[in-house]
Amino acid sequence: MEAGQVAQPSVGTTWKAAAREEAGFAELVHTHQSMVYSLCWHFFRNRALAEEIAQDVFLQLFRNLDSIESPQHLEAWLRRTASNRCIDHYRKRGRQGEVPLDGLAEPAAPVRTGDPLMIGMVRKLVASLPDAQRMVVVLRYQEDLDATEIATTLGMPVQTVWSHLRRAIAMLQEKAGRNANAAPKEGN
Amino acid sequence: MDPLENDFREALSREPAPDWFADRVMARVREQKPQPKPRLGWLRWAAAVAMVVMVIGGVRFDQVRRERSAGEHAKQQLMLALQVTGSKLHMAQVRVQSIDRPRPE
Amino acid sequence: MRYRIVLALAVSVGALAAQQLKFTAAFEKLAEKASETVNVSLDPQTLGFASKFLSDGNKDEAQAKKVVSKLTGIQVRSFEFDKEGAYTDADVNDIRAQVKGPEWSLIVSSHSKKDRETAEIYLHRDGGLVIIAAEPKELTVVNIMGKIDPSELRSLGGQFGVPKNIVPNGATPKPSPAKAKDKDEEEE
Repeated sequence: MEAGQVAQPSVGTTWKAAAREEAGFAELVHTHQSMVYSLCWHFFRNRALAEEIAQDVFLQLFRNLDSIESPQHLEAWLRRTASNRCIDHYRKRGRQGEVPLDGLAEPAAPVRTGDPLMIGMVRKLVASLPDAQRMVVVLRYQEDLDATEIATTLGMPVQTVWSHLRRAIAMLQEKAGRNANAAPKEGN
Repeated sequence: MDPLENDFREALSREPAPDWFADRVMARVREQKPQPKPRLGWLRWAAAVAMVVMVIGGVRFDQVRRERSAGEHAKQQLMLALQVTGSKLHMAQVRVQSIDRPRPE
Repeated sequence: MRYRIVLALAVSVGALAAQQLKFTAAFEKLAEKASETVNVSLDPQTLGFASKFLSDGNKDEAQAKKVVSKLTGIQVRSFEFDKEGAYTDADVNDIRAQVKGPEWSLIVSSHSKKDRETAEIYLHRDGGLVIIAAEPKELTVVNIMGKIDPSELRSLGGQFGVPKNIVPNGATPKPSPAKAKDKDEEEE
């Protein structure tokens, strides 16, 4: 199943009944693990921590299956829960869990395209952003969400999302030493 | 699309989770799953029946105890009445016999 | 059939009522002056109930059970006083007045001037019995209702202190106080 595609075990609410079974839940995990794990990975830049938080998110899902209304709701729920958990964990433990940017090991998966140097630099720069801005950027570019969807996911006003995005892009441009007009246009 | 945005998308694209990720999640799920409880339906019924039997038995026991107590009391009353009766009949007999007995000259 | 049952019941109740002494309030009040009181009133139900608890294995109780089976009631009032003169002749005469009818026979009447003791035994023609025993410091009235006859009194001989030959075997009560075994001691 492709990333972002919603698991549709069967028609109607039978997907939930299937999800209560071990095989069905494993299928849900397989379907959404990349999205959840990747959110955590881009946020923390720490594989072990990202894995732990992502596992916790799926355990929470297992405990709260009854509150999930649909496969679409499930995906939004996972995104919101993963984001909040990352931010909460960061705020509780400060930067303890983070690996210093210098000497940071890159993920096992190969960088697919583009300039590896640029990709590495952008990742490091994103990792240096304040927590809320960082998560806004990750949701914007990893999940390709618009400002409204990000606002819903993080439970913050849309204007705040825009503010975070502008500041983050500006900071990244400044740090990257590039002058290209990279700020997303409002209404995207 | 802006080249920087492209770089961002490239840099922040979804990373695949480790191969073992799902297995570890499922292992933790299994740990969390409540162990199937033994079927307690019959046990509940047995407990309910035992409770009813105990209550009925208790009430019956209490009834029997009260009945026995009342019976013993009634028996004591009866025996007391018969004793008083016997005593007074005896008194009358002694009187009659003493009168019937020839008086010494 | 139903008529016969009702009639039998009415006769039975009538007979019981005829044999039953009615203790006046003044008489019952003697208990307040008494140092010791025996007050027993057993109706047919209580008698039947009590007889269930009389053991067949115990000779005395088995004998009592046999006698009691024909009784319909027992009343005993016995007062023991600390001082003489606690009761009056009027108290005793109230009882005597109830056994003056033709259905009652005075079969024993013993008066001791020396000891100032009186013992009177009345038999009802239907089987009832009244004993009046008066001593200076003691007054006892026994009222036995039912089908007991003199021979059954003999059967109680030796039981509960009841003498065997208080009433000769086969004696039949005569409905006249004059014919009773009425003897006054003239020892003084």
